[in-house]
Amino acid sequence: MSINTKTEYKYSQWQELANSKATKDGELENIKCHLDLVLLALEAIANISSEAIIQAAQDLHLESMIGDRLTLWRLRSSNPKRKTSGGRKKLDVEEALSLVLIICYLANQHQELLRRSVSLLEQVTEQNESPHQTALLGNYLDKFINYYQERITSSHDISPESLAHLAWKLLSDLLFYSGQNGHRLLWVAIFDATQIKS
Amino acid sequence: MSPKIHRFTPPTCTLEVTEQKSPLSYHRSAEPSKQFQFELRFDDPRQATTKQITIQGDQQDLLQLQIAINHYIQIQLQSSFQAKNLTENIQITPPLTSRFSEQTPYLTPQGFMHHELFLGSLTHNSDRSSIRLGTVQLFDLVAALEAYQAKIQTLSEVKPSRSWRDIVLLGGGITAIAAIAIFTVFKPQPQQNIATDTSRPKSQGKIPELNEITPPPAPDPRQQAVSTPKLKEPLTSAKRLPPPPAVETPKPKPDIPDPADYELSDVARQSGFDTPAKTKISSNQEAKSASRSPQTTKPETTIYAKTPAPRTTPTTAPQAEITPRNQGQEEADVEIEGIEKTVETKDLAAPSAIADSSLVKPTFRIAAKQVSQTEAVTAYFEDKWQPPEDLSQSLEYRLLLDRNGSIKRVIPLGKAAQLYLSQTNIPLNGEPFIAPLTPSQSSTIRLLLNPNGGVQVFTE
Repeated sequence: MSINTKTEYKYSQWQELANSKATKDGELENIKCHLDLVLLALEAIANISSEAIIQAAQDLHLESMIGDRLTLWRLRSSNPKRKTSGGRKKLDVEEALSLVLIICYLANQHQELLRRSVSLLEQVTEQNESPHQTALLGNYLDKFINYYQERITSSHDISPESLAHLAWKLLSDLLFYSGQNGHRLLWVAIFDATQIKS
Repeated sequence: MSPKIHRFTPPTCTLEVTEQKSPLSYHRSAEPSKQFQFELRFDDPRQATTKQITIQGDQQDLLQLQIAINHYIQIQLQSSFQAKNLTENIQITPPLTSRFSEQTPYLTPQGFMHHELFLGSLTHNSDRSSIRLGTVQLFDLVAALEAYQAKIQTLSEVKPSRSWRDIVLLGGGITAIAAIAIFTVFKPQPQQNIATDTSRPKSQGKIPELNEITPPPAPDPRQQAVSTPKLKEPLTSAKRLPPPPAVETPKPKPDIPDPADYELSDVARQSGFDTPAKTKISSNQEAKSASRSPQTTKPETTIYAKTPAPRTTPTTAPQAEITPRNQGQEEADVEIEGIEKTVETKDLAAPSAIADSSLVKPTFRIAAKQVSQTEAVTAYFEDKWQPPEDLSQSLEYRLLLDRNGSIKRVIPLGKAAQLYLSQTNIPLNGEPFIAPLTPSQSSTIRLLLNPNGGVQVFTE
């Protein structure tokens, strides 16, 4: 209950922030890519299904944005780098904000798992071992690479090492997004990243 | 002026912020406290306790640390979305390092999953000028700082209302001496809560008692409960009705007449828990029932004889200094008349109740006792309940009471309630809690502890 009200409160604040900043279409395009990537990592580590995402949207009272699987698919297809891109051309700021809220809400729900994974990753890197040799991290990496290659067009441009690196990086990022202030961190991060690019 | 300590304890670090505040600082704007100290301990379980690193500093130092960490985190997070980092190893050069002087703390990435926190001018007990943090440790540090930030925001929201309430108190026709006395006694409440001083000697019992005077909700349940009886007799005394506001104003000096004028036994003063509300009601009943038959008077006095708390005795004395003794008598009259007034209106609404006064008496008694029970529990937890820093929702418990007033069983309602059970200060099974229950009192109580420190109690 308190999570919802808190989220709604912050949601209105973000709208203001977003309206003042996200005016260029190019920026929004990049935001779509970034959010889709984070969601992909979250799906890979926590086995999150479309139903779970839709349920999260309902919990956060965002049914108007993501009410069913079709809307979700079209929303995610708005990532221009997706192989299925074309089902939906535009992602507006409100939809981007909704995705941010949903990602952080789901990350928070799986915070323990994320913490354990990052802790393990720390441990194996400290010991100069390969993370994918551990069951938890190995499964995550496999799924992440699979999802990435299935869904993202430019997947062949990236070396397997870089893709693995990206997977580990996104995994530790997700731990930060699972915190109390995670939604703000994610929002600012994707915004700053797009500002640097453009 | 005892220090106020805020403690934030994620798994791998502890942030402790100590603020020395004077009571008057609540009336000022949220200016930064000059006597602010923080201590940050990294509780790395792999390190010996003696090797654990502690950072200390003032508000400015903490702010610098926050800025450095926030900036670093943001850079780290956004780097995941930069295309060039996909093809080469992500190695972020800290952009602020050159801009900051060496005195300012900053972070740099150390390999893939670690981070080096350079302490700058921060006071620490490490033999190195930097600390190596794992990603999980960094996450915990961020969490602690966020929790601290949230706490500061909450406090700055609470402060205006607190000072407003004090101003109303001051402007309410209370004399300057009484106001200062109440204010100085009122102030220690949050300090005690935060310091979790459970070992308070009983001789300081006047603090909770005066606390009970100040919360505005206190009179309402009493009045509601009193309005439920359906008495016929008081109609004769209707002429003596005073104006209703009179019930509100004398509230700060409640129980002075009770022990003296109505000769409560020694046992009555030394046993049980609850204080002014009960004694007041019982004295009202005594006065009222005295005009009726002696048979009704007896059971009531014996029942209430158990309820007044040991704190009552010491507290009456200092209060008597604040309010002249003769006012106490007036107040008692006002209370009785106030009750009779509500009774009368009830009678008009339900004339059938007038017929049988023998049916009326028990109703009156039960209503009054239920108020006492919930008030006793409320008073207990208002004193003891200190919400944990990270608590964001209300905790709900069902308390099953033994006939002797102790707790037989605590049933947490919900997962959060279960998690925070140990921090609620609910007494252990069998420990003294409230006065023994009478047959008519409910043995099940629902307790709601709010994250803002509020306490709600319902009988079931």
